[in-house]
Amino acid sequence: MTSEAATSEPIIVCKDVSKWFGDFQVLRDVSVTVQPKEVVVIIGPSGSGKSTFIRCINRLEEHQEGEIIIDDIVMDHNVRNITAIRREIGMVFQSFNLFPHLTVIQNIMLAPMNVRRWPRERAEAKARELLTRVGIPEQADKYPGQLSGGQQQRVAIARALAMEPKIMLFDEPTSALDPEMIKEVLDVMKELARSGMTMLVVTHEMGFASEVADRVLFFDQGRIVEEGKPDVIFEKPQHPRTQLFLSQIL
Amino acid sequence: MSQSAQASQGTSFVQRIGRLLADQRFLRMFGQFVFFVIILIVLVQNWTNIYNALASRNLTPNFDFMNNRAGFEIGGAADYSPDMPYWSAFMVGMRNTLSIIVAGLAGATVLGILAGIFLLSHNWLVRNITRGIVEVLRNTPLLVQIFFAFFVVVLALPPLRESIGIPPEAVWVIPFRWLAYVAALVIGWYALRRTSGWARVAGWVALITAIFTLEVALTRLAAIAPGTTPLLIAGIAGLALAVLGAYGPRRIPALAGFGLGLMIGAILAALLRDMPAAGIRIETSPIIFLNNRGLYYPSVYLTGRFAVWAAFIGLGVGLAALVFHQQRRAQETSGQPRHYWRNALLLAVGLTGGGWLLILAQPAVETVPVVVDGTLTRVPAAQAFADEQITLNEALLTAPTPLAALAPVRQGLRFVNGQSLTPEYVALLLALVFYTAAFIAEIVRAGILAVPYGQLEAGRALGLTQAQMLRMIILPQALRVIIPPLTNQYLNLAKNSSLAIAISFADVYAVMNTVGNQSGQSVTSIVIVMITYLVISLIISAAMNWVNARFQLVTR
Repeated sequence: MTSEAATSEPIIVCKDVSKWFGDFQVLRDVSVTVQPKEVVVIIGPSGSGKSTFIRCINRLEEHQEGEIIIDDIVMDHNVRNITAIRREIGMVFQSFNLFPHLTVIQNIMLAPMNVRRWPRERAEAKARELLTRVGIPEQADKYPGQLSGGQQQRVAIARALAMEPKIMLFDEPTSALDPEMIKEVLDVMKELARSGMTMLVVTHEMGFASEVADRVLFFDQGRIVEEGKPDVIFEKPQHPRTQLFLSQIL
Repeated sequence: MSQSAQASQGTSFVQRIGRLLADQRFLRMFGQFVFFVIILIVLVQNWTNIYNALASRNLTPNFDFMNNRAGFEIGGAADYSPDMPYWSAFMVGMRNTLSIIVAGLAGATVLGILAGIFLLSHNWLVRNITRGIVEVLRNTPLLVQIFFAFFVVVLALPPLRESIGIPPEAVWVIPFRWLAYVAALVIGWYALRRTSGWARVAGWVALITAIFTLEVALTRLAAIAPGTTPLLIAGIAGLALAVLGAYGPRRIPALAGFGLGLMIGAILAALLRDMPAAGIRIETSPIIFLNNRGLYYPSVYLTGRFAVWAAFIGLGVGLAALVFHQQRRAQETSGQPRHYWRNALLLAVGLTGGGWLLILAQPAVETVPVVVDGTLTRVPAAQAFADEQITLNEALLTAPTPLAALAPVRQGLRFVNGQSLTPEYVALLLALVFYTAAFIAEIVRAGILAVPYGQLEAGRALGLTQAQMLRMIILPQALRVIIPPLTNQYLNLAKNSSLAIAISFADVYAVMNTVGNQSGQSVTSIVIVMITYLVISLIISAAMNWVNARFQLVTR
């Protein structure tokens, strides 16, 4: 994947991105380029800025220095650019964030109908197709509160996919799940990776990373300390910080 | 089967009783029964006590006394006299209570929601001023606030002869040159719509400076220096500044804008210099009067032409509903945005306003025949009514408009025509509205804050706009939290309205208090009052529970 992708136009370009929370610098000159169809897994200790970084990519957090360009749209203060970027990016959160007052299918249809202005029939057909894809077509008319955590997260993935995004961001999608539900969510994500979706995944699931990632980024103290193919990073980490982190979690 | 049957046959009566006494289901039912019997005994005992105590004083409790002559006055009730029975006095009190509750609920809801949003405002001043007012209102007794509203606010208004009129008796002149300012603002908005950041700020500053310059040039400069020299100098200076700003060593758009504005201002001033005072004259005279005897406002009557207008309104609303429904469905099925809200509103407002104009355009009865000094002459209808030659109903039949309003007119120490609210009503309403609104504000604030931040992030990540998030995500979830405590505040307002007695407003409690004292039937009177408030509260609760049920989440 990487070899053919390297020749094409990058879909995400981040150049020297820096961000502060008050006096505390969370991101230090982060530069990343992602090609279409690439799957990038971001690992690192908590507080290392990996979540903040992917939240900057769809402007849930505002970066203060550096440049972010998504699909040739420059991320600046212009509301139109921000909206245009958000339409192209789907996001899955650690805590699902489904809308509790809407049914599963209404959750999925909401954005296509109101942001993309799709007709109801088209949005509903897309929603049912996606529910089948994530394996829970029979739950369409239930409310999120009636589903298990794994099912909720799969609905959240379907909701993000309904906007037909070019990029999917996953912010620790399995961290809030019971162990037996992690697999069902990871299976959906693996299938999505194989289908050619550009993905940025913050996760602690090393098995998932070594199976589908094209590249692994290791974050520490707001910096990318090391990056490379998953087998290289996991088998022969160069940086002592990476070695320490991997020895603690593997 | 047969074994267990044998076993139950084999148990003795005592064993079965013992088992029953240990049975959870029996114990629960027995507990209920015992509690019910205790309550019944207490109630019967109390009623017997009261009945005997009253009967010994020749006051058997019953409701027949309500048919006796009331014999006391009630202020502000034109359709009531002391010769009517107690029931009529009760109905006047009931009307006053319901009127204060309905107006109070509406006012407190609107004010409370506004204040609740202000409490969450990003504007420091708005947020903290609202916070201060809410704290004062929440933490002082309602009774004190009612006295404050009555003695300090309402009774401190000027006396009747010096009534405050709204709008004031005045002549307003809107100068024509203001049209030039409006045009400048529109052009400026158009020119600046694609700029952002400092360029936009500088552009607006330049535009407003230019308008200010024009105003000074037109009103002051022309008066001080009648010649054209100052204007000429201003025009040349403006041209120079504009050229310097646009083509100088550094491009300064703000300077160029200001120079251009100054130049155009000077040219316009030279052209318009003889007409700075020309404008549209508007004369206003008061229709609402405010003084320490109450609030006087116009009464609105339906005229003979109202039926036709009502048909227009009905048609407009009907068509609007149809268009709204059709276009919304069209948007959902085609995905193309249809402005169904706007179109429906335009249709309804257009037919209502258009109908009014059409009716107004019809030839009206201009004069009416009246007998003056024994001879039959025709005089204009309005004049005939003013001279009391025809009745109000006859005048309404000749009116050219579907609705007619009669503003209050002061005649000596009273107002004729129009309607009025008593000072007691105004004071009680003000106090109830502000006091309850302070609590509602906190409920609204809490309800909006109760929506988890993750919900907003999810909405943003999907590309929803701020307005869409408010309507589709925040409000439905906030209302779920807001409605139950809001119901409590509604009930509080309804019950607190009985504090009216403190400032002698004749609500149902104040009236029944007098009835009880006067007839000696205090117990029966209190029972009537309690039933009245109970019914009102139950109606409010039932309505709010119905609303609440529609917003609850399904979790199982």
